[in-house]
Amino acid sequence: MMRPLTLLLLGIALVACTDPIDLTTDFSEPELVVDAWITNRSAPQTIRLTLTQDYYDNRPPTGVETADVVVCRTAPDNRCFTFVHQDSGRYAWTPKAGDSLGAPGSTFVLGMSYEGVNYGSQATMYRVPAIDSVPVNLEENRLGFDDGLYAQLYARDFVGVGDVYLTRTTLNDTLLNRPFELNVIVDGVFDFGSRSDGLVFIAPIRYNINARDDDGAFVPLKPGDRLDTELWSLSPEAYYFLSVARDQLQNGSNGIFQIPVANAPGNVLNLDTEAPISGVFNVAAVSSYDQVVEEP
Amino acid sequence: MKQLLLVLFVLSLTNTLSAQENVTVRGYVRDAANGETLIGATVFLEGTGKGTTTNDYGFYSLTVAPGDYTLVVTYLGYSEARQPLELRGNVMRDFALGEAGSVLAEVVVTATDEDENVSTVQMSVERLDMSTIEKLPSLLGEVDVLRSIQLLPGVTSVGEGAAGFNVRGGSIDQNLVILDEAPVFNSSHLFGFFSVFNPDAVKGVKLYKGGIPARYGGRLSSILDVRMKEGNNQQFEMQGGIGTIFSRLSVEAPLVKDKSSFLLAGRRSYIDVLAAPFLNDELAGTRLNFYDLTLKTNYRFSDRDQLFLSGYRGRDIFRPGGDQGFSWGNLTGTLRWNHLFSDKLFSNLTLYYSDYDYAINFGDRPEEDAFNWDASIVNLSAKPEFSFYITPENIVRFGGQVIHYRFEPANAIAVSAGQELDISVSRQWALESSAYVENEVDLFSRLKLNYGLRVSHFGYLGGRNVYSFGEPLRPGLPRPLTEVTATERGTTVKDWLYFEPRAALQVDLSTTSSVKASYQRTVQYIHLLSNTTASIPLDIWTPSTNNIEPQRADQYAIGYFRNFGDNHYELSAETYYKKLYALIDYIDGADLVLNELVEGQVLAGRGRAYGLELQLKKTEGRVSGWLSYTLARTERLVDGINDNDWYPNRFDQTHNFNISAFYELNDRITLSSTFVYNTGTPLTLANSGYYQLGYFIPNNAGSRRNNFRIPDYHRLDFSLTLDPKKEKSDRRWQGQWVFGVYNAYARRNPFTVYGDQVAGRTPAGGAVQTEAIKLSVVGSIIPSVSYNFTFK
Repeated sequence: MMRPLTLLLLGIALVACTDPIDLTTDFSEPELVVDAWITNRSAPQTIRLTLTQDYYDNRPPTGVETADVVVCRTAPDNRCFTFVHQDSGRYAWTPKAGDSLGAPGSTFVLGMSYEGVNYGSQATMYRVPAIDSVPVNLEENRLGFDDGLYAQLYARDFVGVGDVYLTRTTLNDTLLNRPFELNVIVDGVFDFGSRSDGLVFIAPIRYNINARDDDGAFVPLKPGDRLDTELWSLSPEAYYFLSVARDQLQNGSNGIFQIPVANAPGNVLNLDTEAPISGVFNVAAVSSYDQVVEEP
Repeated sequence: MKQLLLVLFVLSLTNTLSAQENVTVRGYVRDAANGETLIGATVFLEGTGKGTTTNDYGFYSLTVAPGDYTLVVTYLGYSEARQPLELRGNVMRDFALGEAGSVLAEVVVTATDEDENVSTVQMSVERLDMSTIEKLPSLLGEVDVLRSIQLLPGVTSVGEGAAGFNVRGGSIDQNLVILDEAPVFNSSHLFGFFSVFNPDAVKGVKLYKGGIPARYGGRLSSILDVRMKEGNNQQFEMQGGIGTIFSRLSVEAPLVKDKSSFLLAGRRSYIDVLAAPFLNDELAGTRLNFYDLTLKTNYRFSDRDQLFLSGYRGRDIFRPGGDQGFSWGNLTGTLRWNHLFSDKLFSNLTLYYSDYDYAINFGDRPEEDAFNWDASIVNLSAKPEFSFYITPENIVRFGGQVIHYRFEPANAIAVSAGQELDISVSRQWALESSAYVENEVDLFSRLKLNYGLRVSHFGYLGGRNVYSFGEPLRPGLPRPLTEVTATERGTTVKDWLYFEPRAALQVDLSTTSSVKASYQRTVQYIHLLSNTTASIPLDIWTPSTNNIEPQRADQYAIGYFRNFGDNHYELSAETYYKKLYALIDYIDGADLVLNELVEGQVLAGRGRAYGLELQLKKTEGRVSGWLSYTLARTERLVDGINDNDWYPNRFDQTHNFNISAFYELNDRITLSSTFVYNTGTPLTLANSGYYQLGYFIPNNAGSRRNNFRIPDYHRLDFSLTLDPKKEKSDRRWQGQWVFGVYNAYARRNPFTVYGDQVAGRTPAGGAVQTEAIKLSVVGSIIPSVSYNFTFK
C-alpha cells in the first residue's frame, strides 16, 4: 500500500545530483538461472535457462542449451510436457489447438537435468479473476499525470486472503518490462501487510499498466495504440520472489532512502544439495483484455 | 546488588553524620543581563578546595564547617563574582554574573568551568552552547543544533540529509533526544536537512556518549539533552532573522520582573510562498513548508519553589495540490517543579507529554479512490528526581520515572472504486518504569567516583491480538504465524526487569591532567523500525513485545584528559568498547509499515563497536576551536545475514577527522571554518544479475552484506559573522549579518552508489543496459546570507 507514497515522497525536490561511475565487481562464477514463468494459455510455453552475469556486462544472457526440461501435471491427473530446446537456452512446449497446461487448482512439478545435476520445483496453478474492463480515460490536472489518455485495469480480488497476481502489458507489441512497470498485486493492493481482501484493485495498481518514460512518469496513450493486458495468478513463492525483485529493481530511485540489497529467493532447488538456484517456476492462470485505444 | 546498596547507604550515612554540625550555603547562579540560569558554573570557597558546580537549573549547594570564607563564582565568558561570607548558619546566596568585558569572549568553546575537562568525573560528554553553534558555518546559513554535534568526536551520520545521528556506532534510534526532558522522536525537518530545534529558543545542548549517569536511561547509545532558554526576566527582548530557508522570530520578556518570564519563538520555511506564483494547474495550492513553535514560561514562587512550563510544536507539510500529501511532526509539553526540601535536598518533578505523528492523504476523488493513513507514538511520563548535596565531596541523587506509551502504527482506510476498507494496524500500549540511585563522591582528594544503579522495568500491555511465530523455513525468511491470542486492556502480556549498573571514576594525576574510566549498561525497550539508509519520517516505533526483545548494551571507556596553556587548551583521548545485544534487524524484503504481522519480519542480532577519540580544543583567545579525530569500527552479527559472519554497519566510518576554527578578526568580524573528512560508509552492491520475465534482476552473488565502500567524504565550509559596530552597542536594534559558504570546493560527496538500469526501452530479447551511479546530495558550492537581529 505504501509504495507509491514513498516514491512521491522521494521524488520531491532534493538537490541531489548523480554521476555515472566505473565499477568493478567481484563477480566471478556464472550460475544456472531458471526463467520458468509458464501459463495455461493455449500458446507455446517457454522456459529459459541462462547463466548469471556481471551486473555491468550489458549483454544478453548466455543460454544453457544442453539441459533436459520437463513439466508434469500431478493433479488432478498425471501428464508430462516435454520442453524442447529451440535456441539460446529457450525450451518450449507447444500445445495443440485447444490444449493447455491445465486449469486453476492443478499442481505441477518441474524437473531439469544439466551437467549431471538434477533440479526440481513444484507449483500450484492459482486462480485468477476476470478483467472487468480496461477503460481509457482522459486525465486532466491530476497529480502525477501529464494531461492525456491513461488506461486502468479494473478487476476484483477474490474473497479470501492470499491471492497474488501479476499484470503483463503489451503496448503495440512491446512488452512493458521497465522496473516501474513491474506490477504485483496482493489481495488488490501492494503488500500482504495491509490485510486487505476482496477489493477492486486500488487506483495505483489500476494505473500501473500504463507505460513509463525514462523518468518513471506515466506515458499517455494515443488513439490507435494497441493495448493488450494480461493478469496472471502467482504462487506465494513466485510473489515473494517478485516482491523482493520489485523493491530491488526500483531501489535506485529511492535516493538516500535505499533499502539494503537483497537477493530475490528462487524456488527451484538443486536436488542434491537442496539449495535454491536463481529463478522461479510458476504456472499462471491467465485472464486477458485486448483493445485498440479510441479517440476520446 | 544488595551489597552495593548497603555500601551506598553506609557511605551516605557516614557523611551525613559527620556533616551534622556543618552549615550550608545555597542559591542560584544566573546571567545578569537576562536572568537565564547558568548551568555548570563553578562555585567554590576560596582557599579551601571545596567547591561544586551548578546543576541543570543553575542551583548549587555547599555544606561546610562554619567559618569565614570567600565565595567565588566563575563561568567562562563571564566576570567572576566574589563575596565574603561569614558562615555561621545556613544561608542563601544568588549570583548574577555579568558578561566579561571583551567581546572576544563571545566565542566560547565550552562555557563552563575552566578545568572541567580534567576535574570532573564525567567523561564522554560533549557540551555546546548556542554562542558556539551560532558561529559554526552551516548549510544554507541555518544554525543547526544537530548538525553541529556531528562535528564532535564519536558522532557521525550516514550522510548529508539523513535524519538523526550515530553515536559510537549506535543506530539513530539509540539516541534519546530530549527537549526540556520530553523526548523528541523525529528531530529533523525536511528529512534530515534541518533539525527541529529553533536556535533562538535553545540555551545549550549536552551529549552523553558514554559514562551515562544512572539518572538517564531508555536508549542504548546516547542522551542528547537540549535545554530551552527560560526567557529574559529582566527586560523585553525580541530576536529574529531572515535566512535562506527559515524566517525566525522570538519574543522574551519578564512577566513579573525577577520572578517570571516567558519565551515564544517561531520559525517557518517559506519556499512555498516564493514558489506559489510558479505553480499552477494540479499544483496550484501546493503547501510545502515546515515550521516550529516553542513556548516556555516560568514562575519563581519563592527561593524554594519554581515552576517551568515548556511546549513545542513542529510540523513538516508536503501537500502538492489541495489536500493530498503528507505531514508529520512532534508535539511536546513539559511541566517542571523545582522544590528545595532543605538547603541540601533539591528536587525536580517533571511531567511531560510527547507525541510524534504523521498523516497521509491521497486521492483526488476521495469517494471513489482514496488512501488515508495516520500513525503516532504518544507518551506521558512522570519523573521525580532528587539531589542530596551532603557535602561538596558527596552527592546522592535518586529518583524514578514512569512512562506510558501508546503506539498507533496505522489508522488507515483504503477506498477503491467506492468500496471502503479499514486496513489499520492495531494499537499497542506499554509501561516503562525505572528507579535509580547515584552517588558522587570525592575520595582521598584525588579520586572521584560516580556509581549508581538503575533498575528498569517494561511491561508490554494487552488490548490487541498477540501473535506467536514459528521458526522460519530458512534463516532470513519471514517467520510463519502460529498462534493468535486476544488480550485484555490493562493486562501485561510480557514484561522485563533489568539492572543497569553505571560507574565512572576519575583520578587526578596532577592539577592539569587526569585519567577517567567508565562502565555503563543500558537497556532500550522501544525501537524504530527502519531499514532504509536514511530513516524516513514514516518509520514507526514499536515496543518490545513477545517477539521483540529489549536491546541491551555494555560500554567500557577509558580516557586521558589534560589541560595546558593556563587551561586554554584541552586535550582528551578516549577509547571505548561497546557490546550490543538483541539489536533489531530485518529479513530481506521486509514490509515494515502497515503490517499487522511486522514482528514476524524482525530479526535479533548482536553488535560490537569500538574506537579511539582524540580531541584538542582551544577555548579562549582570538583563535579558538577544536580538532578531533575518531578511529572506529561498528559491526553486526545476525543469523541469516552475511553467511552468519560479522559485517560492518551501514554507517561505519573508519576515520573521521574534523577541524572547527573561529577567528575573531576584530570587534565586528568573526570568521569560522570547518573541515570534515571521513571514510566512505560501506554498502551492499549487486555484483551480478539475471533475466526473469524480461526483467534484469540484481543479485549479490556470495550474499556478503556491506561489502563495498563508497568514496571518502570531505568538505570545507566558511562563515563570516558581521556584528554591529561597538559604538552602536547601546542601540536597541542590533543587526548581524552572516555570510556562509558550504562545500567550498564544490565536491560532489557521494551519499551512495547503486547499480541502475539505464533509460530507454529494451527491445524484446535485448540486453538491459546498466550502469553504476554515484548519488551526491549536495552537488555544488552553496553560498548563503542571513540577517539576524535583536531588539531590546
